[in-house]
Amino acid sequence: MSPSALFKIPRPKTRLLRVFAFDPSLNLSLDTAVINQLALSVPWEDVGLGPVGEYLEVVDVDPASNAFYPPVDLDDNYLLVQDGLWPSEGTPQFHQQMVYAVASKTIQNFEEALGRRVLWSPQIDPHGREKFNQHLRIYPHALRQANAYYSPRKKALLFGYFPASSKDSGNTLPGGIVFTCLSHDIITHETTHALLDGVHPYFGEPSNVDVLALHEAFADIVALFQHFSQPEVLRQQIARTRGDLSSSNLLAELAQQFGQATGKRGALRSAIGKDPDPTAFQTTIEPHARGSILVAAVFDAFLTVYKSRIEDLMRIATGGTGILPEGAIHPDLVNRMAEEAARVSQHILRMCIRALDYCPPVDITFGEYLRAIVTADSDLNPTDQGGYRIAMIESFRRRGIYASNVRSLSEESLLWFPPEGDDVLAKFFDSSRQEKIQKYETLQKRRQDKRESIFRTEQGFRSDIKNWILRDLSSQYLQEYRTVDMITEIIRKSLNLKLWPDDKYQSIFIDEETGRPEIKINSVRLAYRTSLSLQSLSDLVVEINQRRRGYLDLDKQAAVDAGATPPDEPDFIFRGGATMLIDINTGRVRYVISKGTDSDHRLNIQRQYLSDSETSLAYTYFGNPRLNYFKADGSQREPFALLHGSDTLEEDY
Amino acid sequence: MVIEPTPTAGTVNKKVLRSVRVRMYRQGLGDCFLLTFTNTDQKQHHMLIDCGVLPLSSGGSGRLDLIAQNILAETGRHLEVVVATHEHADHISGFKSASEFFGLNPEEKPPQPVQVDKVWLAWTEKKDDEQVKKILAKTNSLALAVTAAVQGMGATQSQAIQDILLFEGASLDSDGALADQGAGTDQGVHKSEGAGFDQSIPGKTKFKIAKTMVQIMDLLRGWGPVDYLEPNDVRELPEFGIKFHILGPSRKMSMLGGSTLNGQASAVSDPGRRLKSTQSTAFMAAATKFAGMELDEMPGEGLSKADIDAIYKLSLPFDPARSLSLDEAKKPYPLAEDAKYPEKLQAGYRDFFKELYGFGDESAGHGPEWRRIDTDWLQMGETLALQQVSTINNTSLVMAIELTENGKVLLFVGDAEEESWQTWETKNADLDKLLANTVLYKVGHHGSINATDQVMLNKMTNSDLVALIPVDMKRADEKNWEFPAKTLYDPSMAEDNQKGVLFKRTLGRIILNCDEEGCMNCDPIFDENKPWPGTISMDPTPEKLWVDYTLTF
Repeated sequence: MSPSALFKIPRPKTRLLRVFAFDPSLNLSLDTAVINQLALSVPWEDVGLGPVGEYLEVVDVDPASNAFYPPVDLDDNYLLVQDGLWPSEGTPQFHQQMVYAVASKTIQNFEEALGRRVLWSPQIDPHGREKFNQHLRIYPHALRQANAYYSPRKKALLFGYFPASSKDSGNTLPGGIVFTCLSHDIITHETTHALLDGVHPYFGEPSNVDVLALHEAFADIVALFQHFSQPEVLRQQIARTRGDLSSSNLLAELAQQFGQATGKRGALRSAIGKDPDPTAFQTTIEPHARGSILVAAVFDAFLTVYKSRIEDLMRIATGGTGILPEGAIHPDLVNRMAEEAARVSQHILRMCIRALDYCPPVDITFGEYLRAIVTADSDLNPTDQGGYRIAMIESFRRRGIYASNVRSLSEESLLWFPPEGDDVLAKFFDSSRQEKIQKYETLQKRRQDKRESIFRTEQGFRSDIKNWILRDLSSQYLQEYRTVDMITEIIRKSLNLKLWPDDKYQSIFIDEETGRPEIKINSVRLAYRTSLSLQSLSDLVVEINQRRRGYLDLDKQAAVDAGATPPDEPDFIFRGGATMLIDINTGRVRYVISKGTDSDHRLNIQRQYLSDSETSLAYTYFGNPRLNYFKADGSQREPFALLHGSDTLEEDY
Repeated sequence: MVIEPTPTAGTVNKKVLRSVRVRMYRQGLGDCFLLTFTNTDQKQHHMLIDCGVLPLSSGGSGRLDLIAQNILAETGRHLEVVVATHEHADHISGFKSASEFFGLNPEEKPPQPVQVDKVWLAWTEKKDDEQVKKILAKTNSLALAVTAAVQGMGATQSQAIQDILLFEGASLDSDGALADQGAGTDQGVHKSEGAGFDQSIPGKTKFKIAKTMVQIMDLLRGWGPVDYLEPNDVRELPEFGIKFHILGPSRKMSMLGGSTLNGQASAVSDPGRRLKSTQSTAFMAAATKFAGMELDEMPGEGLSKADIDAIYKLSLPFDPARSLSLDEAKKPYPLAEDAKYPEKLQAGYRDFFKELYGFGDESAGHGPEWRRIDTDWLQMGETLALQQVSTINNTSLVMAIELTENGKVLLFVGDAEEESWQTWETKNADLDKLLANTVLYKVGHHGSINATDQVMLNKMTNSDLVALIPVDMKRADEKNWEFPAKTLYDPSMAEDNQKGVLFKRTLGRIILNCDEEGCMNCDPIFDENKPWPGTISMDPTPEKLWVDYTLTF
């Protein structure tokens, strides 16, 4: 008998790692220092030097300082017994530990909400093929400036460090070095950009004013609600605000030190705004600023639900008056309120993350995101226990964010529709295909530990689905309907894509092999969710997109559309696409969320958006960043920077 | 061709001013304006505002030679006032490239002297002014940082920055690489003064900072008595009924842009106080090291080599003893058989960086090239280059020329950007009134989007307003620069009403001196069917050197 059969030490489930709860600046104030250090619990994995794990690889190179900082070994016994290195600004190895821990936590939250393993967006090789990308790379000291970004091209997070502004630098030593990689919020924010890019690769494409703003907003929402998962911080802040989270507090603020050190006095962004200004949505263009409208809306919804959930506690604590006496509130009350805040925030965060599977694959707007949130949540929580959806709809409305093409603001009209009147599509997944989908599901479930196999299996299934749609679905339509007009109309209504060449839309890219309009299946994902009532749902989420050439010149567009001129190099790419949610158990197509490739209205909006300019010298010399995105010549800049190149440095001279 | 003015109601009082002629020269991408005021006694007053061209504009500096001769012929070699708005090649290069005609070249004096009564410069050209020293410290440190970034990134990656540096006096040679040439001297007459890659040093290319602009300003200081103008200054010509209101540059440091902190300027290095590390000095210190530039001193104020080293040390995030340098990490680290733990750890670190980051040999198992970040941090050089150019643009002398008899105003803004516009000062006049009475606006910075403040433009409500845009769209297109900005003026939508704000304000009365074909191959562009309040005429010679806009009273 081998010794291991007698007793085997189980692998640990989690690893505790010390991090700053916010950033180093909070250590300098007595009332926040106590809550600023915590040991974050992250999933156990063998990491070794780096750390390099399943999802992340930390490589600490600082070219500006001509330095490699030796990698930390988190598996070292000494570090294992003391939850990693103690927080220290002067030790690069602690920085490595912190970026690893916070990014891992963010990934974990994301996976729990989505119910599946996440993949990073694939690397595109020189032949245009997608290659599996195992690791998101993290460079904690990549830039010598007040900035940090996720680089979609390098599949890496680049963090900067910089001397704090000499004036108004708040708690930070003027001229002292500030590290963006020690800001909990900035790490979460940038990691979320990468996660979102993995799910929706086209949400980085500036096709309308909301797209990049949504990227920023989503990253901020995740960073913000991650605050509530830290019990000590939560309790301390609830005690300090006496349960009123709508007053100014640490939980609602993002990137304190960064904001102060760049001379902006306060935090970089705060979720608690002034009263909602419905005109701001019409006039705010810059992605971060526009995104903060959405963040404020979501945070407002959180506050509404939280307040209603603690009303009874307040009555109990105050003998029915609901008015708290002066002074500190009872620790038991703090605990109960903190519990409610944690529960509500977790639900709201999950609503926001799950909605990602209910979004159109391209050209998203805030209104569509609201519909995605409402539909996703209603699938799980049909009766809206807790009033989450009402709160969300109401707070979007107060900021003037509406969904287009809906009859009213009621919940029912915000829900996505099943494919209306399209029997072919509804029946399409009935037969043997349903079995194949289930087989795919079983296969993917079994491969939970190998993300690379998940990727490869999905790649294979994507080409299966593409064949089904192009070949089988097309022929089914042909059987069912007599005239081409009828078919075109019915496909337009359901998928909103072109499956056959259309004389009026010759700007759509044609697949050279088939001679038919090119379609690309972006992804075939599995979505599992367990509802409040423990009802479980499993869907296959299929995302399709189609490309059309866009020209700034209207006459040129018309000529290429009509086939009067050959389709030469376009000024930009216009995309249509559809997301299908298919019930794995029944094969029924539950929703189709589509954006038409033939929508000239949308094309005009995109053209207008790309033509609009910003008032900056950068624009004059480096060109319109929105248009540059579509250029292949490298004039494309990093799209997700914390600050953009046209922002001037705030310095004193 | 002559276009007759649309008659306007005349004034009754005895007049002294008879006409104002604004001659816009057509040299390429650059400003050169000759203003001629004529009074009722037939006396003339000539004022030259700028004379420059961006290197390799379609006209080139050869064309500036012709223009210089035309100026001298027009004025009888007597200029009452010469104005140089700011230190950019596209505004002042001609004073050097055509120096032999102007009599500014000490070696080649023209047979007849040129008389200049006054040279007007902004206060930002006063060498001994404390505030100017601070601005210089800023621009010098920026220039150095940008230079280092360009050299660190290499010629290809830094193309966009190099293009901007053309304004600082760098120029391209025939091979397409930035060469070490003077401003506006395509023929390479004034070698080794501009910014550019100096190919003469073998091995590593060295990038130099332009000194040309500074030299040109020195030439101008020697041309005639200098009047350094301050905001709120007023200069008068009573015999012509003219007042010159100086609106900018303001003494508020916020006019430079890039800083929200007003007034309390402090230099990068304040003698007697501790050295400070700021974002740009920290960047500059690292970039110069990275680029292998040996600095003996900061070419601005008071920073010695020791100071620069100190700034570099201050800017390091960690103790260098606790890191591996790039060269060190690359070195083989052979392990003896009985190697102990610390050595093994050392070897492990080196393997880690080789396998993940890589030192350039992917076939030997090094990390992939596409994920490396060697020069990503230098991209900040773009931001700094823009800031450098903006700072100098914002030192532009801005003046409103008021014709006191009828209150009409000619507005010359140089290349002032929005930050400057927003700090204009007029203690001795009402700014809104000056704007409302503006009948001629020399568009700032070749029509770029942020050099015409939209709020101020909307205050230019005079029904006689015309705009002059000195621009070379051919040159701008080559470089992908948006001159003029389409929101301001969109030449491609000629028949459309939405041709931009400027089009609306001027009712379409805009004169552009060059179109997409460049200066030499086309006429200036304007719509002759509009009701022009003044007369437009063009150089009848094949050279088509100028276009005139004349207001007669």
